[in-house]
Amino acid sequence: MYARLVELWKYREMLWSMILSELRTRYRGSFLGFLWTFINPLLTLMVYTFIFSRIMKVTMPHYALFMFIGLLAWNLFATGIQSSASVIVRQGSLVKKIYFPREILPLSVVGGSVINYLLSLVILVPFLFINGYYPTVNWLYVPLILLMEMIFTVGLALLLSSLTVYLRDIEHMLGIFLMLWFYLTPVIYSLKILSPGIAQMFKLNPMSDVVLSFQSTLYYNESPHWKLFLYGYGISVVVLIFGWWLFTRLNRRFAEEV
Amino acid sequence: MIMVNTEKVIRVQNVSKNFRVHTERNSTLKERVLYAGRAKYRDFVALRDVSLDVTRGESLGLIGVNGSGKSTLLKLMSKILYPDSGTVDVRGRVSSLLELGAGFHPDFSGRENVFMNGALLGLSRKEIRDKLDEIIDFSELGDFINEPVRSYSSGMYMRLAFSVAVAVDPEIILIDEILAVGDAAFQAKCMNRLRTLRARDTTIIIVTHDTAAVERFCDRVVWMHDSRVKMEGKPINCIQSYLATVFKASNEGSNAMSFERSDTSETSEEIRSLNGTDSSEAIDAGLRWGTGDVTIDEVVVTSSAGRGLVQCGEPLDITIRFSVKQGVNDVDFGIEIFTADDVQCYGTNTRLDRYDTISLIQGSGSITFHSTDFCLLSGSYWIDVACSAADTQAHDYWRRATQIQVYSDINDVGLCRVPHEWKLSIDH
Repeated sequence: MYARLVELWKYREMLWSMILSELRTRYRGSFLGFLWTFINPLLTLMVYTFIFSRIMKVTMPHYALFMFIGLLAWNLFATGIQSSASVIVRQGSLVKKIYFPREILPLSVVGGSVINYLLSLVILVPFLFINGYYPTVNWLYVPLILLMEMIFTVGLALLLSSLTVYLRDIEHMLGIFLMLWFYLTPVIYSLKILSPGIAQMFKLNPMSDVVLSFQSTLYYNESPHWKLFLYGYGISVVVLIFGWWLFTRLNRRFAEEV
Repeated sequence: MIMVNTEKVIRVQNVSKNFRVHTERNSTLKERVLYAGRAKYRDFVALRDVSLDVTRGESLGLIGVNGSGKSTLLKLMSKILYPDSGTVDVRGRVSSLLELGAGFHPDFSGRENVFMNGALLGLSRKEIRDKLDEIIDFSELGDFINEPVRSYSSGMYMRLAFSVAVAVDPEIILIDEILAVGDAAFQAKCMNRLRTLRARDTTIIIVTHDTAAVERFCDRVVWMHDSRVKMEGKPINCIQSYLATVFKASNEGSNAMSFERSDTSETSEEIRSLNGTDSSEAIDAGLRWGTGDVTIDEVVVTSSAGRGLVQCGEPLDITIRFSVKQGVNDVDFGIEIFTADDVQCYGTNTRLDRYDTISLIQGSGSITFHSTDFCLLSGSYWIDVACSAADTQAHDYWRRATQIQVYSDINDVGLCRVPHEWKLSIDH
């Protein structure tokens, strides 16, 4: 494991270059180009604000903000997972022709999602100000929560990307599975609407921990619930270790199977 | 004192590799469940207990027919594939040119692709920036470097890819068949760059069918056959044995791959009879016709390099042995040389060359075409031979009677070498 980490470090240039080309190809050819990175979350925000505060009249204060905080975190996870599942197959020509640590491929996809998340903060932070939220000491938790989410996402990305090489269905099942997962995660609703027992069950879902922690720090202006926070980190690390272990096992026949 | 460097940079020990050939791919969930435990694939053995050491600074050629395992071996060395059993140990920075331009992105400019491709080969941005001018220079792309790669011709694409790949400054470079692409001038340039790398003690391993290039370039040759190392040693020995087998195989049909030979001493003997189409088969294939009054028994090509092999610019003999069934007057003997893709290079006969007419009586004999400096450039050539009457009626016309390999230590290009010298004068 240590040797592989050293090797991954050696290939950091490649990782960075893959992330950049991933980001740059995404909007290449469109008129507004890279601006879409900001326009997309902005439009999403406007649509939800309009629907929930004008049409559906949700009573929760600053509901659009509440939901936007969770949605950005969810998007990081969902786009990272969805796109990394098929990344080994998609980049088959590289896998068959060039040696590099294969972990680079799912890592670059998740890296791209993380950078997109960071860029969308350009929209989120002003929106916080507009709603009367100003930086507090609790904001310092944000990088830690983000790190937890990255660990979990990378772990799952490693797991799914290596499995998909042998089991192509995963790519197609994943869409519907992620939709279910989305509704089981308190992004557009608060856990307070559920009975305490069920809410407790929902917290077993690591993505709930991520989203709840973001909401604590940014929306409720509290520190994250420490039990939840530690549990989230614990399970994320376990997923990462398992995902990576599986990846290193399956990685040997990638060049033959893609 | 002579320093002999014996550090092993590549150790391949008892390596075996099987591929799963999926008769039908069970890669959807339904199939995985339905056919669990009875996967629909069979094993194809690519390598069987192969061992091989490569010393630092060595230039090694891997030759063998298609499917003999040489590319698999190269992929194992570059860690793209893993062995099923045995170990592959490689020390040093490896650059593998298994396919030129793998990882090029069509939408980005040549310059951007240099950075991306360089990163793929393990270079840092700074290293690439330092080498950027050199890379662009070598690629001869000029202003096109700022255009999207999508708009490149395949030649430009290839030039850029090679330029990046050799700029890596590897300790070990693995090359698969890429020397076969590009025009002759760029090929020569690539070979020169490889020579520079070799002079810097870079270990070079080449997989190719171009035996002439291997002959020129490599210190040692490994001949892969039927998933095993069949023979290794001096290029000339291995190439001769290899060519002999290939020619025999193409004569005998598909089952000739089981052909076994243990030592090399008999090789050169065999080349003589194996080196061309066999007489009876040639008639069946429409490659041979004539009255039969004179029959050509065999055609032997010799030079100081060996049978069927000649260095460009060196003397060459083509000896035609014949039997005369019935006395004939006024015949001529001729030869014609074609490239592997059937371009006529040269043809002549004794009549065209204004020799006295030849009359033959019953018996046998031989006639030799002697060239003091054979000037065709490196490659494989076919030789046709004929014995004809004055009215051009053939007594025996034998197409594809034998094949010769020409190699050269000069990388000039074209079909044949024009005898020449250079004279420089500078006006002050």
